[in-house]
Amino acid sequence: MLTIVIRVIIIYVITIIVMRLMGKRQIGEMEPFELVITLIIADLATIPMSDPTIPIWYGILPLLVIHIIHFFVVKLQCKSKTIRNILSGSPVIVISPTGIDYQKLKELDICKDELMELLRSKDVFDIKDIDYAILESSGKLSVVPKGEGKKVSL
Amino acid sequence: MKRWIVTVIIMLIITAAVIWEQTYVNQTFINLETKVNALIISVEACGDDNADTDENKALIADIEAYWLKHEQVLCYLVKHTETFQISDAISYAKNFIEFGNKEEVMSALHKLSYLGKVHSYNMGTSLENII
Repeated sequence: MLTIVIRVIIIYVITIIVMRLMGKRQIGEMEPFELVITLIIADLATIPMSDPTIPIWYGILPLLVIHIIHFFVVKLQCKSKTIRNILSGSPVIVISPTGIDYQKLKELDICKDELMELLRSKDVFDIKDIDYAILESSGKLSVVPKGEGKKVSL
Repeated sequence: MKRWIVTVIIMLIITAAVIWEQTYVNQTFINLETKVNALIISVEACGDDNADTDENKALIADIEAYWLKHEQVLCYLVKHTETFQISDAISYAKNFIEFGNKEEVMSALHKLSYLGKVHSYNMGTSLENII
C-alpha cells in the first residue's frame, strides 16, 4: 500500500510540473489539440498509479514526451498560420452587420438555436444589438456590440 | 528561454535513457542466451546419464545469479510480470537439474532460451512493439 501511496505522490507532482511547463494555456481556454493533450495526460498519469508491477516510468515518460510535442507544436503554430489553422482551426465571423451567415453556421455544424444560446451567455438577447459575432477556434463566442465602431480583423 | 532549456534537457535525458535501455536489454539477453546455450551443450554432453553434475549445477547457479542481478535493473524498465516468467523458468531448470531427468532439464532449458528470445524482443524497441 505504501508503494501505491508513494507512486501517486510522485506522479501527481510530475503531472503538476508538466502542466506548469505547458503554461497557462492549458488551464485557460483550450484549443482542440490542447484538449487532446489534457485528456491524454489524465489517462497516462493513472496507468502506473495503482499497479505496482508497472514501472513508474510508464506514466512519467509519456507525460514528458507529451510536453515536448506540445512545446514544439505551440512554437510552430505561432510561426505558421497554416499550421495553426490545421491544428486549431480559424475564427469565423458568424454574424456581421448584414446579418447571420447561415452558410458559415452550416459549415460549423451549428444551428441558429445554439448560436442564440451562445449569444445569451454573452448577455446578448437580440442580434440587432451587435455588429459582429465571431466563433473562436476554442469554441468561445466573441461579440462586438453595435455602435462601438470597432472593425474586426481575424 | 527557461522553458526552452528545460525542454532541451528533458529531450537529452530521454534520448540518453532510450539508448542506454536498448543497449542494456540487448546485452543482458545476449549474455543470458550465451549462458543458457552453454548449459544446454553441457547437459547434452551428459548423454544418457543424469544431468545432475557439478558442472551443470555451477552453470545454472551462474545463470541464476546473473539473472537476479540484472532483473533488479530490468524491473525499472519493464513490467515485472515479464521478468518473472524468466525467473520462473530458471527456477524450474535449476530444480530439474537437481531432481529431474534429462528430458525435463532440456525442456526447461529450451523454454528458458525461448523466453529469453521473446522477451528481448518485447522489452527492447521494435516495430512490432511500436505498432
